[in-house]
Amino acid sequence: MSAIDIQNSRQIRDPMDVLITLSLGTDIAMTYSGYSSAKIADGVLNQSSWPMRGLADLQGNGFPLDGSRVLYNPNTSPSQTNGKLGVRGNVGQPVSVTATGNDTIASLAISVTGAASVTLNGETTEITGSHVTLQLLNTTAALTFQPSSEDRRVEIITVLPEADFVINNDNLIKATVSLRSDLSIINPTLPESELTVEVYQDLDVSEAVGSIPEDTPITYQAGYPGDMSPVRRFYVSGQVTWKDNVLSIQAVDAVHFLDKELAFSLGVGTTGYYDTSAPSVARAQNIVNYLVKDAGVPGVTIKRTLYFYAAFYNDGGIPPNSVIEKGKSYRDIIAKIMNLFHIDNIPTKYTANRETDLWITYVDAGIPQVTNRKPQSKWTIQEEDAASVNLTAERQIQKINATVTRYQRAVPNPYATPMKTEFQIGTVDWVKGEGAFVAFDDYSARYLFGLSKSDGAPLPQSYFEDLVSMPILPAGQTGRIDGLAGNVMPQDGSSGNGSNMFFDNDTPQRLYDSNLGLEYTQIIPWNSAYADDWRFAWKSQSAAWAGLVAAGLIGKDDQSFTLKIIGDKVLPSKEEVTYSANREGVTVDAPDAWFGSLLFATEYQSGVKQEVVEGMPRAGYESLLKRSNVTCSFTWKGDPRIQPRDVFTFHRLDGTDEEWTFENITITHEGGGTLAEVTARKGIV
Amino acid sequence: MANTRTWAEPVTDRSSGSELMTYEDMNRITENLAWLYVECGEQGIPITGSIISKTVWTHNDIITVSQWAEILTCLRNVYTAVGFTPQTAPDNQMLYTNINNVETIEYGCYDILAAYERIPNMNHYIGDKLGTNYLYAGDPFNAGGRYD
Repeated sequence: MSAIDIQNSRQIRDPMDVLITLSLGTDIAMTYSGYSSAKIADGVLNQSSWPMRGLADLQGNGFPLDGSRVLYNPNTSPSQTNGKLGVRGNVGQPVSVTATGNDTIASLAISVTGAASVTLNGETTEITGSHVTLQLLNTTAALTFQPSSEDRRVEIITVLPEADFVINNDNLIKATVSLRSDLSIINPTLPESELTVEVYQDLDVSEAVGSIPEDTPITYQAGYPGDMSPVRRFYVSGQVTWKDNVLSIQAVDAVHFLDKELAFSLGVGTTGYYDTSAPSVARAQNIVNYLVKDAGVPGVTIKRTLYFYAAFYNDGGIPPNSVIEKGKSYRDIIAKIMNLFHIDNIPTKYTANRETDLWITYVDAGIPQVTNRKPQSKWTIQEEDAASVNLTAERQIQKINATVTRYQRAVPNPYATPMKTEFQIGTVDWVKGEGAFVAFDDYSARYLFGLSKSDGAPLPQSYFEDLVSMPILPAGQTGRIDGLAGNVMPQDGSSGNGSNMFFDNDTPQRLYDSNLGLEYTQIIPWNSAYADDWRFAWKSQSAAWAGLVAAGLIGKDDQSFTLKIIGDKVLPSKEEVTYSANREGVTVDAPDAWFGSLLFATEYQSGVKQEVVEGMPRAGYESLLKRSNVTCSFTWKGDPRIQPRDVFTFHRLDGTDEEWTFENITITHEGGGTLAEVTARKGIV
Repeated sequence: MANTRTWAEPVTDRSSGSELMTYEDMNRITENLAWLYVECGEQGIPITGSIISKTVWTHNDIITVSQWAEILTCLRNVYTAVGFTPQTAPDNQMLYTNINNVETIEYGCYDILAAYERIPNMNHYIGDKLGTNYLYAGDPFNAGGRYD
């Protein structure tokens, strides 16, 4: 059983260790050596956010047989996923490590378990918890740790330069961690989680803290030696202050990075050109991760590079109904996805929709993750251990009036010959030695650019001096022209270069520009019907639509040309869709929802194009009607491992067990005690 | 030659993941494996592989993948030799159910070997040794068909 579980099972538990680390950043690079008397070591002592690998370690009373410990495999590389070994000594024996910086280190912050003391330069410091800070003012520190008992081993987790300001039980006055979600049925938001800390600091650091910038990372974890909660990441918000020997810090989680306006439009179609090679959950995860990463949340990785892609439809097929989100924040969009994401209704290629339950969980504080595994109860709370239990029942929702926006988009079909529909947005005259710039705006999944002579004849390759340098750039980013060289790849996956991107008549061509990164870059497939013509469409990551950048397309002929812009007209319309449950209750209006599937496509992996279309599950209004209207709040002893959206079994006083989902947990550490205020919604949300 | 290894009563009733795995547990599991291996030899039962190499564990040990693999290999060699069929083959998970399974298999093998030892005492001529002399037709061991 974990140390936290053991402590929680007691009437009075020991004071929890609280470890809060403010990462002020440093350029000091550390190396570690001289693991004298180490049992095993991987030298990774500079990664504070990597967990220690739980090993089948026979020290002390042994290890729990709950599957949390793994056999030691010397071939497993340390990583954030695998965890690290740190440096682990022999039981009952001291272990030494030498830490060296490439610059003077003011002090060292050390995380260690199983150690009673550490000696640095002949001076021994007692270690009472799992953390100690040592003054150094040197580039090298030879550390020797003494074990806390004959049957315990020293486990060194991190040895970091002073850049981390460490707050623990020794200097902590009060820490409040509010982890939040919003499980309400209609219009839930994506709330920020918060961390507020008060620290005893008798040195006047008012000047130093004045330079701590916003968004400085600060992490929180709590628990007991050897069994700490996962690291929760926050970012400093507002001014760090020092007054009357108290340092006050406020921080919020990564959700605040999502407040900016979406940098692109979301296109949605009910039919299209699909590829179903990727598992639907992976695609759904990718959409959420894409949005989270694109908003600038650090540490989020996406499995693929996504590009927005118009929903093509076969000639004679049903025009796609599209919905396009624009002008909203990442936070709004993700909140909507999280609320309506419970049904995977991703259309597969030429087949009916699939319906698989999708669920949202949190990884770290407030960062959503999509899974196809319905959450299971992870925790058990006895009602007799809770105080001020207060249940509230909202009025049942009997009917949801959903406003659904459909966008009928008249899309020119690039695969058809000739194109069935073509909307000319405008023309620009273009003369030798000058480029052309066209600004255009408003919704559209794509724009087509046709370059033609003024008499309407297609414009052949020979009219360009240097196709490799053709700038397809966002407005104001003219410096990237050269970046296109070598990044042009034929659609068939073979290697290519700029010189063949337009004029291999038989092969559809697309352009990929790594410099544009995730910015919208789309080249309409080459069509042999337009052998001497070329077309492309793109959009910048900035909010404004961009056009061809001046001084880019350099004609070498004296003749003037006309740049014709062909676009998609979007005809939005709204309609009401009603969902109802067989019960009495109120009627509510639901938010404007998408209908259809969000399409992404086209990635390049190692230079080879992979056709990937991402799907957006349709709005799951039915799942909202199933959501319980019963909420509760109570005060409890608290457990720092719990996150919002975790499911728990609520063992009621009458002996019944109910499943509930945590909505908010506010944990307060003060005076050695820990208390949690909890709100929850009945059922698994 | 008598079996010089030591057999200890296996623990097979761990009931939850909160049960701890200690070095004493590892000593018992591996020493019992050694006992079973030697006993097979004592009873003339052909067995492949070698005797378990590590039977002394201390607080200072961290069980490695290769050490556990050797335990599982030796266990498989023993239960194959004596004809014991486990309900499920044990794996690498450090779960109480898996460790129960390991010790249950050891126990099952022990029971079979103990039965082998009893049967000739009841049904053989004095001095007979299993696998080397003929048994009376119809005796319970022979009916099982192991050494025909």
